[in-house]
Amino acid sequence: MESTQLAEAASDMTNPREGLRAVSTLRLLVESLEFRQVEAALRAGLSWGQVAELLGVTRQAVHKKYSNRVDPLIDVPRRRRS
Amino acid sequence: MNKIIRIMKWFREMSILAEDEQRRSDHPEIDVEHLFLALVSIGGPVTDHLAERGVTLTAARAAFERLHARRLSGIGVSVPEGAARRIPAGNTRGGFVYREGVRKVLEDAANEPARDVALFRALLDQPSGDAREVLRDLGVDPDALELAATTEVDSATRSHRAAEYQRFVGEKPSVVWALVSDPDRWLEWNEFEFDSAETTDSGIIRAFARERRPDGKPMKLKPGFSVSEFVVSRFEPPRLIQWERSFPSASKQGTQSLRLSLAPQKSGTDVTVSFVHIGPLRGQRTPMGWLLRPLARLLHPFMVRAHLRGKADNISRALRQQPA
Repeated sequence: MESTQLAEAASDMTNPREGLRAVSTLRLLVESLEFRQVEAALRAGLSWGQVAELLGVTRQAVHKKYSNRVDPLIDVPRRRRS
Repeated sequence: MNKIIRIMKWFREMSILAEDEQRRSDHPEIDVEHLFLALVSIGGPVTDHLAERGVTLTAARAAFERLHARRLSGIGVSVPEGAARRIPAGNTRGGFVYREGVRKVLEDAANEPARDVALFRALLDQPSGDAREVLRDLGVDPDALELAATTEVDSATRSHRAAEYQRFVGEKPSVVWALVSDPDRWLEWNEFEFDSAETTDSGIIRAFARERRPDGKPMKLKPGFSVSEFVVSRFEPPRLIQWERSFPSASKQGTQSLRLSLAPQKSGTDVTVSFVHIGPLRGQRTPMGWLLRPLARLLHPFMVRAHLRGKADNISRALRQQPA
């Protein structure tokens, strides 16, 4: 689907009930994709700080959201304290 | 089994099943969808009723995926079909994470006499309409389902002894038997304790303990306990298998006998995991060991039950994994 068509479909306001359900599903999809990407990034050797930078949020925010969920066997580089 | 223990057991099993589904989908919180899938797997009148109409775990999972795909296509987003997802080992560290209001739904249902029926009705009434839509997709009219609201999930015959744990799994006894009796599949239901296993020519399973638990913490093991050997001592297909565990590097340690009994149910199997014999506990011969003996005796039944519960969870999880 072209981006213009996508925008058109997403901004259809004629059936808000269905629209809201779709947006809620979309949010779930985005959350699951974000989780998989964060886990893949940590496996690839990125630190929590680098992941946060790429997501455009703070390190604390990304750590709080995902530290209990990611595979505990991943060795995440520890932050160097200066 | 008294009422409070029954409620706690049901609540815990529902939460474990729901969390497994949440983690399988990489969703951030336990939601209505995951509770519905847990209800399909937990056993009891609702599970039986739905299974009779073709609403099995596999069918319900696929219906939820179709539901999500349909809603996304409505706003022009298409998601390519991925590989079969697996339930990751372990659990979310720090406890179950429910979407706001979902835990309350589960708690309210747990206090009802017919818990699973109450939960099923509550899920049907959720504003998202997910449960109703999925049932319609599977050709079941949710309003036409006649569920007896008086049936107690746990009968008086259900096990409550400390060295025994009973759990329903939504597969026929032959499928459960194929898992628990096949040495090549032994690791599938023991991976929470062991990293790897090999079968010798004489049929002994030699298993190597994990160095780190599924939650990432190091496993504390005394020397000599990292290798265990398992031998089948009773084999009565398809209802009973008994394994003897010994520690070849710690010869003074007694053996353990773990028995798995399978009993067919309407839409699955009741699996009873029990220790029929636990060898004498060593390591209490130091002065500190003697001092702590009363405490150890007090805690021992709880630890044994927690271990058996973990075994039963793993058997259930192994059977709920989709083939890769």
